Amino acid sequence: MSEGEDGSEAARRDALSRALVEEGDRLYALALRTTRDPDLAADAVQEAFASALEKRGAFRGDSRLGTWLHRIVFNKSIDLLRRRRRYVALPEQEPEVLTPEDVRLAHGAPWARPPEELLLGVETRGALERALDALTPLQRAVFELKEAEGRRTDEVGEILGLSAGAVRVHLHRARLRLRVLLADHFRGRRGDGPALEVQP
Amino acid sequence: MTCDELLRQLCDYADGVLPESLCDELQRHLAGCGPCQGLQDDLAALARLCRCVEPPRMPKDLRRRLAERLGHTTA
Repeated sequence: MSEGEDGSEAARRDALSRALVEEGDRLYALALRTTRDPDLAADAVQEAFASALEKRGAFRGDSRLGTWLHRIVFNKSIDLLRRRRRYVALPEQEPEVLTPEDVRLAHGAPWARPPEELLLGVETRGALERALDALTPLQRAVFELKEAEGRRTDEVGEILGLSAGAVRVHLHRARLRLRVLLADHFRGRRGDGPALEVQP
Repeated sequence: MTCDELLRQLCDYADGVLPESLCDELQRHLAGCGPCQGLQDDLAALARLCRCVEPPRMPKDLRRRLAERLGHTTA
């Protein structure tokens, strides 16, 4: 028996303590990527653990405790953004197919082929962080879980409450936007020519 | 397969769930289409970049507060 499956408070605290050690950084990373605000991210993680402590036996079943905690952290992050009116649900959350806007972005000019040291350098990583600001919270969450952490698509779907197809489309959409947003960085310039406008 | 059709299949292709027959078709299109190959190369480069990004770490004071709340002095 593990993960507090016996439902006792002591077992639940032990399971959550282990999860804090093993999953703490990833839980915080998901909250920070989603909210882009360290204070909100900390609040989301704290509220998630508080909820987990209160919900006796709620992590019984098929879901791993870590997956369940990720789901609570994501939901808390979105709740906090909504409470601060920083997040409005967009139509992008519904369709599982690419939109004409996605197609338009895909037709943007390709990157100048960056040498590997530029592609993976500190400046590019900084540019990526700035580009992530232009994505929606959901796109950033998909990006964190799938692209940065390399989780399985079905697991990402379980955390975010999406079908596997929707996860793939959101990730693809995030990649297309990041590609456009980073294009100027690789050309070594900003704003000295026509650039594709990126909408959420 | 047209360029737009390829774009719609690319997310399944990247995730390894595109049926084999469509994979062959997609790869044939990529081999003969510079813009689509450019897109695919960019997305592959972006994936390499993403794997190098340092993940954010939980601040120590937050970790300490949570550990205390869970009844442990350290975590």
